[in-house]
Formats: sequence, C-alpha cells, structure tokens
Amino acid sequence: MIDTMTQWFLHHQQLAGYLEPIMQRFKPAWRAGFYRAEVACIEPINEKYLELWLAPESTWPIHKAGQHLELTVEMNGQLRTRVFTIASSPEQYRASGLVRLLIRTHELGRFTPHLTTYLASESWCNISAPQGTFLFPQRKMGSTLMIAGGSGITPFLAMLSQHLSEACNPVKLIYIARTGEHLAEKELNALAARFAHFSYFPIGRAEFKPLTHYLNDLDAPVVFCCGPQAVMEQVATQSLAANVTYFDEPFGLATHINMAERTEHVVKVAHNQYAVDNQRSLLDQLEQQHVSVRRGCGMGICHQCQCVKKQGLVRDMRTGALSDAGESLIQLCVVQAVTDVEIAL
Amino acid sequence: MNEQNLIAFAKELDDIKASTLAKVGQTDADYIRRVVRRQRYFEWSGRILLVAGFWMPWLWAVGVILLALAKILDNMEIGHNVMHGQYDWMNDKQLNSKTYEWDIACDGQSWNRVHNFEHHTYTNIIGKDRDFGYGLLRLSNDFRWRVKNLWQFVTYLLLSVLFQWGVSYHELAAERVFMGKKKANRDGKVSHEELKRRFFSKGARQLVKDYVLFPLLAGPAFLWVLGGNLLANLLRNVWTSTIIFCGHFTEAVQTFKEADCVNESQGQWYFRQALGSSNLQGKHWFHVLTGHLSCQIEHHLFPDMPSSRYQEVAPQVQAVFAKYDVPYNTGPFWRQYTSVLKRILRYSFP
Ligand code: FES
Repeated sequence: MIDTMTQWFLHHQQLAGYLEPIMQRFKPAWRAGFYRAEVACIEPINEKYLELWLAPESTWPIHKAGQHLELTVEMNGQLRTRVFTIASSPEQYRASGLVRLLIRTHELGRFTPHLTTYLASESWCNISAPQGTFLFPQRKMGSTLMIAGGSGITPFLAMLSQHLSEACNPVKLIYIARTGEHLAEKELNALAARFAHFSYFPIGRAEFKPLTHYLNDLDAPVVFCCGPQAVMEQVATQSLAANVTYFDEPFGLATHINMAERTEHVVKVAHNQYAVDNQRSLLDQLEQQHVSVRRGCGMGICHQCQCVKKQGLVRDMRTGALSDAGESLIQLCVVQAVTDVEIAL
Repeated sequence: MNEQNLIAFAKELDDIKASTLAKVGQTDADYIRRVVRRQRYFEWSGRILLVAGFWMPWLWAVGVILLALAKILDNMEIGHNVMHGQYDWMNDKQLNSKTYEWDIACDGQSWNRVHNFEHHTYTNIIGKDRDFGYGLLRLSNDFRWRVKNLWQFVTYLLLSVLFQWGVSYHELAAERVFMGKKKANRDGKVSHEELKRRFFSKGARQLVKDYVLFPLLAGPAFLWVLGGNLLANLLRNVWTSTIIFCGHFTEAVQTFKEADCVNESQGQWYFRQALGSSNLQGKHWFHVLTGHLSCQIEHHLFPDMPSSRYQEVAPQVQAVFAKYDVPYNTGPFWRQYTSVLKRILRYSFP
C-alpha cells in the first residue's frame, strides 16, 4: 500500500528509498533494503587478519551458527559489498548485542585492505540478513569431524561456541594454516579444556593426512569442511570414498590473472552457462551464443548493455581496470571476462 | 583536421576523461546526495505552501516556484544525469540508471533507451538522431522546406509549453508506434505494445497524480493545488526546453550526413560531438539548474562522467579545442537563446 502510494506520488519504488538521503543526515548508513550496524571495535589480529565486532540494529534477525552475511561499506563514495562468515555464536549475540567477523586482508584487494580506513569504532556500515545453510544439524547425531583451512575457521568458531555445550558425541577439529597463522587459538584451547568431547588439532598444510586417518577413532562421523577450494575438493572426494556424510561451505575465489594469454571462462546467466574467452567483449560473445542481451552503441556510451555482475572479475577494455570481485554494475560491450563470471541480465 | 591531429585530439580528450574519472569519489557522491536532499526540501515545502495559498495567496506563488525548482532538479540534475549512468559507480540502488524514475510524463526507461543510444551515439546525424528538430521543426537545410515551417515559431512555443509531453511522445518514437511507420536502420528491441503501454501508464499516472490525487489531498484547497501543479509543470517545461534548445540549436551548431559517419574514429566522433553542441555560461547554481546541460559540449564528449565534474573539465576541454582550432561554442544565456530563436526563424523560410 505504502509502496504503491510512493510509486504514484513520489515515483520511487519504495518510500524508504525516497527518504534515504534525508534519513542519512540523522542516521548514518540508513539505506533502503539494508540493516545498519555500528562498529564496536576493529583491530588487526596479525599481519593478515582483522577482527571486526559489529552491533547490528535491533531489527536484525539473529543468525544461526555457521551462517554468513554481506557487509557493505561506503568506500570513497562507492558502496562495496563482500560476504563474511559470522565467527561468533547467536548466544554471544544475545548476551552482548555483538557479532564478530574475522577478515582476511588481501593486500591487493579493493575491500579488505581499506576497511580500517573507512571503518572506525562507532562508525556505521550496512549488513544483510544472515544467510546460508552451512549449519550444525539440530537432530541427534554421531560424531563430527570439522576441517578448516585458513579463514575457513570462522563458521566453526560460531558452531563450536554455540553447540558444544549441547552436543555430547565427540567433535574433532582439524585446523590447517601456516605456522603462526592459526586464529583464535586461545579460544579454541579454552574450549578443548572445558569440553572433554572436543579435541582440537592445529596443523600445517603439509601435515594434513588422508581423511581416513582422522576418521578412524570416530563413530558414525559427519564431515564438515570450509577452506580453500583444493582442500575442500580433496576432503569431498575422500568422504565419498569413505562413505561418510559431507557438508561444505565454498569460500572466496582463488584468482590468478594472466592477461596476455588467451584463457577460457564460463559465464553464468540465470541457469545457463556459456563459454567465453578473455579476448573479446562479453557482449559480442553472448550475442554470438544468442543470449538475449541488449546492445546499444557498442562502445561504452549508452549503458544499454549494462547489467549486474554477481561475482567474478572482468576487465574494462578501455582502461584495463579490473572490476571488484563482488557485486557490481558492468557494461557488457566494454568488458572481458578474467575469471568465471556470474551475471544477472 | 588531418588524421594525425585527430588522433592527438582524441588522445588529449581521453586523458582529460581518465584523469578526471580517477578523481571521482566521495565528493561526487556527497554532491549528488546533497542535490537530492535539496530536491526533497523544495518539493515538500512547495507542496505545503500551495495548500497554504488557500489562506494566503502570496504563499501559493512561492510554493509554485519551489515546486517548479524541485521538478527541475529532479528532471535535470538528478534524473537526466543518473539515467546516463553517471552515478552508477556508486552502486547505490536509488541513483541507478536502470531503475531511476522521474517526475515527468515520459517513462524513464523508454527515455533512457532512446536518448542515451540514438541521441548520444548519433548526435546530429540527420536521419539517425531524431532529436534534431524533433521531427517538428526545420532547423537546417537538410530538410526540405514545407509550408508548415512558416509558422514553426508558434509550433516551437507550443512545444516548449508542452515539453514533457513532447519528450514523452517523441522518445516513444511515436510516429512509428502510433502510425505504424517503420525505418530500416533501427530494430525495435522493445515491442511497440510495451512502449505504448509505458507511454500511457506513465503519462496517465502523472496526470492523475498532479491534477487529481494531490489536489484531492488538499481538500478545500483543491483548485489552488491543481493550479499550482499546472503552473509548476509549465515552468519546468519551458525551462527544460529552453536549456535543451540552447545546447543543440544555436546558429553555429552543425549537422552531419549518415554517409560521413560510417566507421568514424574516436577523434572524428569527438569532433562531431564538439560541433553538434553549444554551452551556456553562468554561475554554479545556474549550471545545477540546467542539470549541467550548460556544459553540453563536455556532456556530449563524456556522457557518463558525473555532472559534478563538468564545470571542472570545461576549461581543460576549451584549451584543447583552442589548440586544435576546434570551435568551442559558448556564451551567456541570452546571447545563445537569441541565436536559437534566430535559427528557428531563419529556417521557417526556404
Ligand atoms: S552498448 Fe552502449 S554502453 Fe554498451
């Protein structure tokens, strides 16, 4: 009703959108379709990781342990969004009103290295509702094997602090990271000391043994894995071979970019996939494959070909600039795929 | 200009564009949001004062002006520029070229398609850019003289007064959709049914909003609000049409033949944009109220550069033009406008 009135009277889709710039004067980061969150604390833990504590506004629907959210920060006038797993439990949120993110900073990234510049304590940013189905099963089950690689530890931190007290079957965590780069060690050691059914093994990448090695003392195990692609693939195949139930949470893109060489990529549009290369514009190649894209000038002026890139990297053929990895607007006629890309037309 | 100069000319303009776009950031985002806020304040105070006119008529007059200002900001500095994609880089859903809708009879998305594509790509190419004379006025010798051109000055005045409907009808490529005329060089990606539906639905919605719903909300002040809306729309129409005519139809502006523009290089394209546009001089507030169409030359060279930067690049562009001996057509408002009126009159006759 209100939205219809807004459309008639104020030619905006939503009333909130119409009011947004005014509301932002009083409530920083007030934005239609987003939740607000105040930064309680932002601190580097080591050279590679940041710890960010956020206080979401009270209407934010509480997360389940293992879920992630989209964090949106205005950086130099531009809204940039990335996905992070919540590394604290719903119980902690109920007690303190805070959620924790452990963020790996990528030196050359366009988001993480700038977080400390744009987010100070008491500043505001936007978050989405919690999402994701990488959850600790509620029903009674056997033992659990968790395998975390690098920043893939985050969902497990939330799950362990939430569910260890309820679970009574053994939970074993194998945490693979470079020496000195294991996160939240104190916290995990404390949990291991407190709960007899929880065991914790921080190891280096080279020490990671075949899955059966970790499974043999577990009874009716379920495997959870979160980490780099290679680790997850390995664990997935071995779980299948060992005939155990397996869940995973795919994490970040591994990007290796080489412009000079011709490379091939997949473009996902809705439920279809198209093969493209990194040499010609996406518009040309999609048109060739009879995708219903809209062409205008074909030279980057008219924005008729514009669409939303959900994920993946593209390169602007005019300037050579690489796009963001996250969601952003692209003009199909002047970009080339650099990785696999997902777009919404 | 010879081939080599054209390349160098294009290179210098490209450099201006690149170095300016590199600077675009928070200040530009803050700027456009500030304009949006002003638009809201003008709109609210304007609408309230229209009702207050019921008790104190002079307040009504202030209200009309405020509401007209709100509509002008919405259509020109915000709508036109946002729909060009100038602020898409912000990733802000409210300032996005694909979703913005404006307070004018013309459907935003239909306009976006025709204006950005036809007009900006094929600027002043007779037969491709239908914006040249809007199919109503004869503004160059490229068109055969007809008797109706004799009274085209009156046609022009009428067009100004009804500009929002003119734009709406025109962007719909009305003569083809309604009369079934087809042109070979354009393929309609959006069906005629769809265009018609948008034309009527947006147009009807505007009529109902301005002349039924808002007046009804005002209760006893019904007529005051109705009259105020009518006058505000009128002021907006005359203002936008005047500014737009100054940008494209001053006497010095040139036209092009389709044949001359096949396979044109970037330099030639820039050159054509330069000859097809004219600027207006004025204070900062004047530029904002024209939606920076006062920097029509810069806008045509760099249609998706944020409008917040046009005033800054204008002197740089002018310097490059001077260096390559390209005419930079600019002047104060009254001089340019007189020039437009002369052109309309001149081509009224064979
Ligand atoms: S087709 Fe015109 S910008 Fe891509």
